[in-house]
Amino acid sequence: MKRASPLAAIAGALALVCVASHASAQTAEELFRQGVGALQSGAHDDAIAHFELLSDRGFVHPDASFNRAAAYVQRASSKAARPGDLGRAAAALSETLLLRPSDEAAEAALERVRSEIARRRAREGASALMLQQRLSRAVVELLPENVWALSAAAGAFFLTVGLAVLRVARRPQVRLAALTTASFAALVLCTAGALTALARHYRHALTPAVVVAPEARLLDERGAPVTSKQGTAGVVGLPEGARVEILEQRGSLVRVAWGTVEGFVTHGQLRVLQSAP
Amino acid sequence: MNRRLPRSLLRVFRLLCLLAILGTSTHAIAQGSVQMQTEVSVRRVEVGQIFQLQLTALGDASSPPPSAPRLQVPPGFAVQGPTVSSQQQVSIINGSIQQRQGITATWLLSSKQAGIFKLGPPSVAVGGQRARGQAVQIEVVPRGQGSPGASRRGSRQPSDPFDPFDFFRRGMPSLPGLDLPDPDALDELDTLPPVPEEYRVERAPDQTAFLRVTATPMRAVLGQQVTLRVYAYGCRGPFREANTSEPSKADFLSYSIVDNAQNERVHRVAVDGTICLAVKIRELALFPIRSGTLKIGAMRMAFDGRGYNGGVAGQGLVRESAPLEVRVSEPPLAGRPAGYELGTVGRFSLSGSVEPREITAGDALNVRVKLEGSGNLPHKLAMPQQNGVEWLEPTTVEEIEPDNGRIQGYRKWSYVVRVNKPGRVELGNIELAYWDVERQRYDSTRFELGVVEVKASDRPQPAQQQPKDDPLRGLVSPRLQLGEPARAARPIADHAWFWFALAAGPLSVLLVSGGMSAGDRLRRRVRERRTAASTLANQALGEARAAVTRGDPASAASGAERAVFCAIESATNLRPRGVLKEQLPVELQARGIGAELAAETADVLQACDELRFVGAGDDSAGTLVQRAAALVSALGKAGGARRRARSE
Repeated sequence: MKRASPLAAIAGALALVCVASHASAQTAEELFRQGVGALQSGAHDDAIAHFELLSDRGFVHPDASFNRAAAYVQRASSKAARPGDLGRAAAALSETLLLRPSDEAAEAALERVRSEIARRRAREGASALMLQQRLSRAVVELLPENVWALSAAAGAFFLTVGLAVLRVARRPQVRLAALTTASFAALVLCTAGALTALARHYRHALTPAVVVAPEARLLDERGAPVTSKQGTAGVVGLPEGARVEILEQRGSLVRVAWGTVEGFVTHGQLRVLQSAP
Repeated sequence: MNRRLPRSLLRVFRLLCLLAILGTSTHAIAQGSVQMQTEVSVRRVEVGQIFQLQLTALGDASSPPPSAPRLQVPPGFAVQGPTVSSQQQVSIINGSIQQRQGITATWLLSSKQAGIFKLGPPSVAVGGQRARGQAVQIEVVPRGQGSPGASRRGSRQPSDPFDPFDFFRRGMPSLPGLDLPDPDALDELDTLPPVPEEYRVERAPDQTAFLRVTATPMRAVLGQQVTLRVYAYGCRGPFREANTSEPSKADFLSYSIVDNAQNERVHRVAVDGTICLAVKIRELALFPIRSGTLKIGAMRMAFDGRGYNGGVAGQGLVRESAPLEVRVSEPPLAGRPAGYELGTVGRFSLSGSVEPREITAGDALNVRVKLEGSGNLPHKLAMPQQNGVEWLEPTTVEEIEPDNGRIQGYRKWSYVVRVNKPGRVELGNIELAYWDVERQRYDSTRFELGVVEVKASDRPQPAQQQPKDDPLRGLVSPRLQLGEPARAARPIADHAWFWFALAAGPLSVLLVSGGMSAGDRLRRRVRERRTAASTLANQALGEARAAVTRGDPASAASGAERAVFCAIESATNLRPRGVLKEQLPVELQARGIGAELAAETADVLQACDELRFVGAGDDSAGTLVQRAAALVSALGKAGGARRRARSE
């Protein structure tokens, strides 16, 4: 009996863990189904509540994010629309793409949501703001990070081959070809390697977020609004739906970068995108 | 009869005025962006009785605050003041936070004649213009005809604020509600009545006067009531509140429980052996609107009284309370129900009605919902939505006030709901989830709207679909099932072996190539070393010694001769076999070898020839080999010196 009881306790604990995790998974699925039902019946507030609760509980899934966007879009097109609904929809769609980059439906929907935001801003008389990407960021984002990494690996391979041929070959033509190959491969290795390192740095150091307020007014370190003279290229506010990178947080103020524009905004005006666990 | 008619008319007029005044105790007028509120402490006073008129003017927080308050009074009125204090207000309307700031101006007045008078309207300067509040009517009655409380106070003659010696005769003016103790009794520590716990303080930060502020609780949940209390302690006798600056509380919704010390009891409290007069001057119910460490600023007040001489004449002794920090967190995630809005904290109940229960499609019905309870009553409720049922914007009525220090009351919403689809329509439920602080758990209250019978209508129904040109129409169709979850793919660059592999290939080739070159150089050096003349000389000496051991003098002589020749070549780069032996010493001296050494060289070579060819000589084989070894060594040193001299 004494020998059996520890084993029984361990078995019981394992069983409890399995049941708890299964129950937790069921609860998330239940919430998802209830949210879908609310969406289909037109109860957009109810649907938003369910999908937001899923997010609050740490349930990260591209389809849950997509449906959250659907709920916000439904509310945005109803008479109960609230300021920032389209921004939240854009945030949810951006999150979907972050979790599932190949989701074409989410990509198309995000583009249309951003177009609608721009159209509404223009109708209200707000000036159109163009994102001016930093050169380094623009170059890094030309290709996915893994492509840069594979390019660097290819450069290393051909550099190795070129150097080896240079060492052993005697014929001048062969040596010339090897020298040319090695030089070009060294250039590819250095460039692609640097871009890979930079892409990795951006991925680790920056947190993606989306503006969910009608306009996120740029502030200085003290929290005072930035004037057009102080702002980069005269930009004093970030438009709804804009994707930004969080650089640092100081209390309720968050320093963000939107292309070449940098400044502080209030934390509540952003929705941080969740990445895959 | 003709004489009575005017008197009765006058009485009816007075009665109507009193009814109008009693019907409304305050009147708030919003003038443009400035909200004005005028209050008076009493509406019926005796001649000479001091009363208070207060104007609160609040403007938008982004604009300069109102300033320069003025009050117009009829002749015969004595006016003191105004004392001006700053005000801040935070409110949430339709989900948006509005902050207002302004001033409160307080005048003390008394009339020297009876009658009904119109005071004001008070005004403030806003943006270069004057904004006016509401004028108020006061009835002044002869002494003795006021309220019973007033007659008792009337036995103590009201002070004349314009008599500079009045303070010395009678002390502070007797303000209604402020019960000032006899100064002679201040020394009797032993006879102090019991003091409520909230007034007790262990140490006085200042021996003359100080403000003490408390916030309960200091750790709260978002939306939980935090009660802020400010107490004034004056240890030099009676005092009056003056030139007050309210504490900043930008992160809180604020409800006033105690506005000023007027109706508060003054307590005599022993602090550090001194009896101080203590009174609560403010009590506010604060509801935090965000989480984090929230700051409540300091309150500033001037103690105006005989024993409180401030730095600036006429402004009293100014004291500030300590600022506070309240830590606010969100209620726990565990167990949080769907639809819970952060900040909904308290205990609530929902009730309501739906009328009528039978309508025709396209008609409207009336839904009234009442939410009552204590805590942070939400400004809006989430209505159940469904296709074909349209909820219009409601009208709201509310009554929220403090009760025993807790904010409670109700909000009522009246909705007009249009139902466009015929049939038996289940309207759904209105549910409000809230966090119950006392029970430390989530709870909810619900009102079931029930069913409405909707008859089909002959009238053409309004289009229920979205307009064709709605760009959001059909934009995002919900997904019915959960697909493949996202898997965190670790990019190649996150693996350490990637960076190792990048460098390893080229570096390995370079290392191998360098190693091979070094090996070649080493082999060349070894080969050179083997063929070097000095090495050959040593080898020859070795062979000569071996020949001596064998007893072969000819081989020994041959070996010795070879060793000497190699030593000459190594030291001078001269090939001695191509030089006649008679010329050899001359050649050696020409190449820097000393004469003695050159002669010894020729002598040894001669001895070798004799031993090898003749078989005998002055030296034996062993001796000859030793001489040859010494000569080889000397030539080696001479050659090294020669090379050093050349390199210099």
